[in-house]
Amino acid sequence: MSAAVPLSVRSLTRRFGRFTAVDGLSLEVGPGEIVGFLGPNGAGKTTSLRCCCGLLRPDAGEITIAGASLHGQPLLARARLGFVPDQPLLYERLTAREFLDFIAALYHVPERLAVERAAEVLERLELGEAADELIETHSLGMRQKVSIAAALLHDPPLVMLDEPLVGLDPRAARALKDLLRERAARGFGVFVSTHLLDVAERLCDRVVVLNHGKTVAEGTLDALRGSRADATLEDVFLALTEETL
Amino acid sequence: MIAVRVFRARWQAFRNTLLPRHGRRRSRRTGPSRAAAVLGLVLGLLSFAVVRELIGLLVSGGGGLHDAALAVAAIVNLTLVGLLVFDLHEGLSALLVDSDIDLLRRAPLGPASLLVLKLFDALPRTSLMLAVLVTPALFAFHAMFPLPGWSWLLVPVQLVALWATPLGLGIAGSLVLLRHVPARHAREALGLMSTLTLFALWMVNSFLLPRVGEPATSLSEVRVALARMSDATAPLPGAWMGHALERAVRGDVLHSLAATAMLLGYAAASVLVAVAVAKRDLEAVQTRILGGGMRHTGRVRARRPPRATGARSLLGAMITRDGVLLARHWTILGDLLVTAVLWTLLPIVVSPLFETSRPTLARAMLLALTVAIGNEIGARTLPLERGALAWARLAPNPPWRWLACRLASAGALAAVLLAIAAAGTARALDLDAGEIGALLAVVVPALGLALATGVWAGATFGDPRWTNPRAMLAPAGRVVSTLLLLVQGAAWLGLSGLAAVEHSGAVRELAVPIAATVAAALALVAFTDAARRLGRADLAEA
Repeated sequence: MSAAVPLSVRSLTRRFGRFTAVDGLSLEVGPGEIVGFLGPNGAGKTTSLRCCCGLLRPDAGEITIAGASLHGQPLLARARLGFVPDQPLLYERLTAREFLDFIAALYHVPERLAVERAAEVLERLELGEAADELIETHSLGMRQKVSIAAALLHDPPLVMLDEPLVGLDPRAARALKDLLRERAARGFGVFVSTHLLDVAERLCDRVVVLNHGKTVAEGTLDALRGSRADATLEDVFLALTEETL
Repeated sequence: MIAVRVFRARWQAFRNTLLPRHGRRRSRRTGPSRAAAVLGLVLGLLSFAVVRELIGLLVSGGGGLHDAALAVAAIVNLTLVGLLVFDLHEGLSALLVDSDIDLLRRAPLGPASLLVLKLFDALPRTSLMLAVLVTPALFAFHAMFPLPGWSWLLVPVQLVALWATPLGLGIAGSLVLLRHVPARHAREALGLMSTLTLFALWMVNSFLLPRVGEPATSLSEVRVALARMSDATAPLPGAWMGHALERAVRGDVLHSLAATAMLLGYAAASVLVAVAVAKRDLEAVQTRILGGGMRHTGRVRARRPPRATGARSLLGAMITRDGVLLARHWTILGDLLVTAVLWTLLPIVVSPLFETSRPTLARAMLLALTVAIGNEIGARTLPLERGALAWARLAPNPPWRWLACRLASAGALAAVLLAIAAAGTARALDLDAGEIGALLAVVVPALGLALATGVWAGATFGDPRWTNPRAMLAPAGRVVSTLLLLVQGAAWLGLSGLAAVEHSGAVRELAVPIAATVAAALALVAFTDAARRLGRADLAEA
């Protein structure tokens, strides 16, 4: 299963009325690859991710998750995906542990295994002590940690994260980056949308730059730098998004 | 200056919502706002027709201008009570939990400016009843007793005064109360207040309705009842509105202006009280409410879930989760219990108006409860999940299974409430086993249909940003849900009456099975459509 391409997107288009938020987007996340999804505000990153996880219905295009078509085999595709949204999707009046217990049932994860995995992720993200407190008492960063734990609970071949570092303290951010690298080392795919260019530069094997709903660049950082070997990702990003204005 | 700019931004947001510019991305609220506007227009026309008919009947029954003005006064007073019961929470929500509160609190605006600004913000959400009840009533009054042109110039002023009076007092009282509620429960208190107001209103009504209804067998007696009501409510704004209209038609400019001045006086006093309380308490209450979710002291420690081998079933997980959520969302549970009590009592309240036998009364009580509780619980089922409903689309479960589990979970709660009410009613009215069996034959399909249509309403009109447990649906959804409730209640009560009629054995024996079959088919249609919506809708709140 992990040999299949974790994420393949072909000609994804999504419109809101007359406004085209994503325009023919195509990309791939290979096995063991961490791909960064960059773009200015309103470029269509969140819309793309929501289409890829099934929260929004695309107007056109084909999305395949670890070999399962999101349109043709939606249940299989969803079972192979973990999604961390930009706003955590939590039940505020549950504790983190109760919430993860519920999510484990949704993904048909054996309870003992779910408890072990949740404990491991929560421990690594340093949320263990707060796991028995109501989520409504949690800070944004703590909620984000619960959301990350929920996405990893069923150990999916692909994890998509929308601005996952927002609200996380440096220690938790580091722990998350380590977790993602470990998943990549196991041959799983990671697709991460972020506006933190230094994070993308250090974490990602490859980046896709989106502007006005279209891909304006894609490749490794070295390839994007081209002849400007001393350029930072910030320089490259600004140059790319300026050119397409 | 800042306030003016904020007002201008509000106007632009309102305009962009209703009339988005060509080529721009449409707001998520555009569709619902337009639908609400159309619905408001329809309701307004309906109100106009009903009030014009009422005034016409009064006049044809020997009444005159004075009686018509009393009728309008009664409508105004009822509307103001309705505004307090149904819309006060909107004003409070605008003031305390709107998404822009944090931003506005950082701006150099005083509590008084903030209060006025947020009151204006809440205007579209809190003026619906004035727009669809009072305004059409004024036009209906004008249709029978034409108002002079100058008095129409006063109408906007009068309407604003009528809107501000209950809202100002309600907000002032709520702020004082919220100041003393523990911070952790402040948000719940917002919802609880309107539930308690509704409960109190029903209790008062349950004593008043039979007294008003009993003697009202002729138009002349309706006029007497209106006069009595007018005496009892003389100090209220509705009475002054009636005075203003009556005097205007008589050409008495001075007294009409004086009555309008009284209305303005009420409004000014109400707003001044609200401003005074806001200056003292608003900042503290906002801090308590906004900070309530971030406190790290006094945390609620929850019991660890049992650890077992194997995956839990979706149904089991859903029922456990719903049980925990409802126990912790105690205002919602309280609201459901209040609703259960009120709807069970409804047939008793109106029983003096009709001659009813013991089993008929029991049937009516349980059917009213069944339809209402099924609808109320069903309609809350999906909105209760807020943005986390997205898990229905993220997790590998088909929408129909998610919905079936939610329905089963909601049904379990409804069945418990219903069983308690049925046992109590059977014992109080001394029903035998046969009568109980006949009751259940109607109640069970009624519950299934009400739950399914309730869930459908929740899937179609649910508002994930709800702040009040009685307003989890968008305004249009609340109207549709109420209509569904009334139609189903009337249909089941009618069927129940038909089945009880002795003269036709065949009809009596077939009516309930046929109705149960039809109910099952309708429930299936509602369920299928709700599952389709859950599976296809853009979950933009996620």
